[in-house]
Amino acid sequence: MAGQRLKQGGRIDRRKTLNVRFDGRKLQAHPGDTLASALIASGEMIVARGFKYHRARGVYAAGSEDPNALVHLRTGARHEPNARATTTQVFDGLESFAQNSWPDVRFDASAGIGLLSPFLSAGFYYKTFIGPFKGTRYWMFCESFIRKAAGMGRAVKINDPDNYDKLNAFCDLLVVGGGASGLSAALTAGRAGADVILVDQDFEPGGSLLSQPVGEASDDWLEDVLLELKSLTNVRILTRTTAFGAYDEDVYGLIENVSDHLLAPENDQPRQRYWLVRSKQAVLATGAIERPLVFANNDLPGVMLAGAVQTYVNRFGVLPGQRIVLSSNNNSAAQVALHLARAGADVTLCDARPTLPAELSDPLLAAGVTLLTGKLVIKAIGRRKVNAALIVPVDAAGRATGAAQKVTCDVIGLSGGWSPVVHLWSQRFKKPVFDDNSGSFIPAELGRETVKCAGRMVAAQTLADRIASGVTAAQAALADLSLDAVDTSVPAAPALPFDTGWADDILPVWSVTDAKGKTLGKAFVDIQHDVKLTDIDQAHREGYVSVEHLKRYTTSGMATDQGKTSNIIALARMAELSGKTIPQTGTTTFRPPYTPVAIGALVGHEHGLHFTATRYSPIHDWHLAQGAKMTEAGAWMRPWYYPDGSETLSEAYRREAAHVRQHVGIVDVSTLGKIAVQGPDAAEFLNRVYINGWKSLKSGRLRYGVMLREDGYVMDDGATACLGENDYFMSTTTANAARVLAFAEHLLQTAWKDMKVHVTTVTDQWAAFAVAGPKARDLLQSVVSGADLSREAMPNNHFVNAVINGIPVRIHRMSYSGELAYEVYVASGYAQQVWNALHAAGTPFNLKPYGTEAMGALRIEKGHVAGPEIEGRTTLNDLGLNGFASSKKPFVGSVLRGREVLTEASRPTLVGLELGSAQGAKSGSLIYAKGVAAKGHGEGWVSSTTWSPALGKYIALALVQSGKSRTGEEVQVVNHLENQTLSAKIVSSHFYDPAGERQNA
Amino acid sequence: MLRINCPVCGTRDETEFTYGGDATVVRPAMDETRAQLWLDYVFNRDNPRGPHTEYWHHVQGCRQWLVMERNTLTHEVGECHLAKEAC
Amino acid sequence: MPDIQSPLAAVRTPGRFGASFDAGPGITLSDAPLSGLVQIAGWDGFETAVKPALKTLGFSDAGDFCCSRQSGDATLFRTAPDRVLITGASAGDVLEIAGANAELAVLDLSHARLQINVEGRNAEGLMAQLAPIDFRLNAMPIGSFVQTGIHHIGVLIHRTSATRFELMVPVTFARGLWQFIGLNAAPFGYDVLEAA
Repeated sequence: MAGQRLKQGGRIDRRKTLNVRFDGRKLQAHPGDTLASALIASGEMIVARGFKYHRARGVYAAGSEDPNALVHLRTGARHEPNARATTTQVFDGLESFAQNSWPDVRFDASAGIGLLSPFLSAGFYYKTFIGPFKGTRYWMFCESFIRKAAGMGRAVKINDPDNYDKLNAFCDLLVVGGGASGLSAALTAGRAGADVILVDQDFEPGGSLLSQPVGEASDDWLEDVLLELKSLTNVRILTRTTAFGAYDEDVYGLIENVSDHLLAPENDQPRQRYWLVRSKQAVLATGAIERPLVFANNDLPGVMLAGAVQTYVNRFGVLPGQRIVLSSNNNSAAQVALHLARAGADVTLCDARPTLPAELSDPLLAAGVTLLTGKLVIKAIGRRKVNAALIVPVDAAGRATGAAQKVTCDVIGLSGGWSPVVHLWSQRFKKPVFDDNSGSFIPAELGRETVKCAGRMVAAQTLADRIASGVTAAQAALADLSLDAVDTSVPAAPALPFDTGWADDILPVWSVTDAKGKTLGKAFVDIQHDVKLTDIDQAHREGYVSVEHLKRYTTSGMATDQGKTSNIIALARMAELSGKTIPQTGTTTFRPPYTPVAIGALVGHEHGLHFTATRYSPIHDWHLAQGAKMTEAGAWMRPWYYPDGSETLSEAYRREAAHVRQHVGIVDVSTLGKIAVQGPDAAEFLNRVYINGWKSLKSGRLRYGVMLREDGYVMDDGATACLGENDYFMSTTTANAARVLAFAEHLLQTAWKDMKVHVTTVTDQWAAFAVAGPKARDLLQSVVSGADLSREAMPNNHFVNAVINGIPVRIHRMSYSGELAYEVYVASGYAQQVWNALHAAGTPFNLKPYGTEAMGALRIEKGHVAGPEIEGRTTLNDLGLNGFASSKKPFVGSVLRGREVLTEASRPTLVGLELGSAQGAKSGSLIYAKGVAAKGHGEGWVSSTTWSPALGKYIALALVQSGKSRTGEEVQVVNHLENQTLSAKIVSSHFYDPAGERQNA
Repeated sequence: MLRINCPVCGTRDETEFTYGGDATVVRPAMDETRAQLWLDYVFNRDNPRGPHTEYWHHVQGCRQWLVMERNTLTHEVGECHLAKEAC
Repeated sequence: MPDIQSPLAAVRTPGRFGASFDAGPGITLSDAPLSGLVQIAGWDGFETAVKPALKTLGFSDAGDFCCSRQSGDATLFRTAPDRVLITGASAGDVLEIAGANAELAVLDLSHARLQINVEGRNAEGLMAQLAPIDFRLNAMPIGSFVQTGIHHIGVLIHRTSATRFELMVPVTFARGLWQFIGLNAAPFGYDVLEAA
């Protein structure tokens, strides 16, 4: 028979029934249930299908360690794959679905895949996809087949509608785990006044105490402690919160499931909250996970961890089966047997140990439990669920020593001892050590400077010991916090029957085999990843020694449960096969996260528009109002082009660029990096970081400068104005502003400490507009007051302070477009007013705005380099900027720019290309000499490309080997990505007005 | 996550900082012309296992360049001072 | 001079947003241009060199890295060993005297930052979502300030009461940060005030 709800007992509210469905079938669910307990109560034995073989799987555990009960939750955009039914708190309207099965989890068409199992053994991927099969059709065939068959949940491609918050928290003490030891630690520290955060992954604190029958003395203890803890304002209790990672410097990552227990988040609350906790001290009281025993068909629905069976009975009032066989090697199953018998089950307890002490056996026999000592389950029998257990007498290694007996049952509960949850400790410090006494890995030390451990996590056994260890850990933490524990009298431990723990007299048996060491059928080590005991054996035969290699070769422990129930068994088997001890074999490395974490929770609000911070010009809204199409330039949004009616990009930029050359245009260049360079040594500083000389620059003048990196490559260029003797205004390219500033700070603070210079970003302080075109002077002169912009008074590379509509501005004469041009600098809070004034004054001059695309077209026509040319691999000589470099002084990069590799004559150098075609070249196209096969990397590449309205043809800038000497040569321009080959002629990069007459007008 | 004790701002998350590499290298004087010294400064680095003295820039804080000791093996952070203040 | 134009003009919508609680919204958001913002920087001997300039505003010294100083409408922040920031309408008064000293570098940054105010009973909680700083009152008392990152952008955060923080953010990032702060404030419920 299947599981059923008991008439009484459990921490559920039977008065309320919730509408919860699994594959459309209504479940019996009450508040307090998990999806797993509701499934068992409703007789749903098969809840999932195996990863590789599609074997039927049932609920196996009662916590986050469950390898089997992974389900889909919800539908539509809130659909969630790989949700653990055992930790999913039920809510009204919960819809859940089996995954990795078709057409139905109960009748899976792929279950026959088990017949192929010899091909899916350890190392299958490695063997199949390297060597002769690599890259073949066979590979492709196998891959498509495996992708369909193997797997777990299915993600949806709909945007997640919910919000996730990130929270930075600080505290004196973080207590991880709300069981007896964690609560005791939190109470001790809380009473001493420490700022405490207590986290528990469950929706109710209490840990294993919740698995005691309702009404036991442990309930009173729990109630007392929680009551007091909740009264302490310095203690924050976070339930549904998992500490998934422990990081350097005592930083912990937590995920709080704020709204996962609801149909949808309510009242604008986030779905989950990602806490980053910086804690001065931590007490890890993370408990222990029961360890299974491995035998044939140990994945059959109905095979469960013994403690989980106890939890379902006592916490959820669900009896998973009427006839229950327990298979155990330690004392902890005794309490389970007693509680099951009291709940009305027919219980048989097999224990590997030849005899049990009377204080265990007598009460069990009195309760009606059948005891089979010296015996274990060697095989689960049943087709789609357990209907019997095959039990054999075993030796100390778990090998059969005699004839088997068959016991009819519907549940087999396993207890192979317990594995302390050492994950957080091990993530932080080092691998745990093996404790022979408890047969488990535990932290090497109970306490480190900032991390203390308590409870089952350090193999504390009785409830009294666990409580005491929590108090001790908290006291140690308080001492390190220099706080006094005022009251350590945590309520005394209540008496529980068989409060023995697992360590005493444990017989370390891990798997049950026949006399020759063979399992009687498929026996799984890692049930979630379908890794069998024989896969471990095979890996051993093939020479795998390191546990890290074993893990990757067999994929044991690499599924979403990270081998919480399986790792130790794989290690033990490896140790057994290699004749080593478990400590000699070692364990694999523990890494975050402890349980799966939704990417959305880590992302928080940093997605979509807020993927990174966005930067807006002070006149951004004007651009939008004009219908500008915007483009991203680093963090900035910039106007790309201003379509006139239905104009395309191509039509618009050609018109805008032509307009600048004929009339006058205005472009928002507020994005330029601006740096104030101030101090008595400012000129000397500029002299060092720029390749050209600065000592002679007078106040009121500007100079174009180029900077190199320390390694001799070009870093950036821009104009710098001398505002006064000790006061310079540097501009950088939009892209490099932050890099140049940090580099300048680095030089000043680490190498040139004696220089009296300060560099400060003023990018935000100043908006800037370039006004360019033959009518630029007339327009500006008509609107400014207090300045003479005439050719004589203000030649190129001069600036002047002026006023526009009562607002102070600074006007630089400097041309990027090659036209008569000015840059108007204005404090950003007045930018819109000045921009508006320029437009109002511009009407008679036919002023039009232009965007970055037209700006690019204009500078390419002039052969000015920009980001696509100053791309980190080009030298001054490559870009034709050598002439700016001073030979009279050293500057940053001046020695290393002379390196051989940077001065080779064959280096690609900047040239112009004239395309003879009706198509432009794509940036990144490769250059090949005419008539040669277009193979390999070519002799150069196209860096920038445009239609030139001034020349009436497509042009491009390119870097071509020995480019300067190839003027006039016809070359092929090949875009391999789009199979496009064009013909072009190499020309000077100064396409338009090479003498500069227009800008000097 | 590293927590870096900035002498100006106090202990902060490493996310506020950028890494600046080995702080034991000394930039040659401006008039140094021997390429090898510049190559050593720009490219050649030890790769120590253990304590490493390195630059960090408190780029989202006080914008000071710091010199900090970090153990490359354990990630433990040691002494930290302003790069401007010779130590 | 005309009014300084707020970078939030198009995105600041006065009203009530986010979660609703019986106690009303937990957050009030508002913004204001800085009436003045001046940086004074120097070199060795900065503390001495800057004294006369600070004295004109009533500050006795350059202060410390943790806490602001207040004098009249001016607030002084020691942002680095050799730098201070001064806000307030009177901040500009130091430009001339400090500018005359070659040992100091003075800079008017009054258009470079916007002040965003986060106020309300959940202000501390919202700030904890925005920056990796310990905002608990004992760790960050009234009058203290931090320079840190919100959404990876450098900002200065000044605590002016148990429930109020004033953020100085770069104006070109202000629009995005304002929206980002709003997203984070939604679970507390928040009011947006009219432009100052």
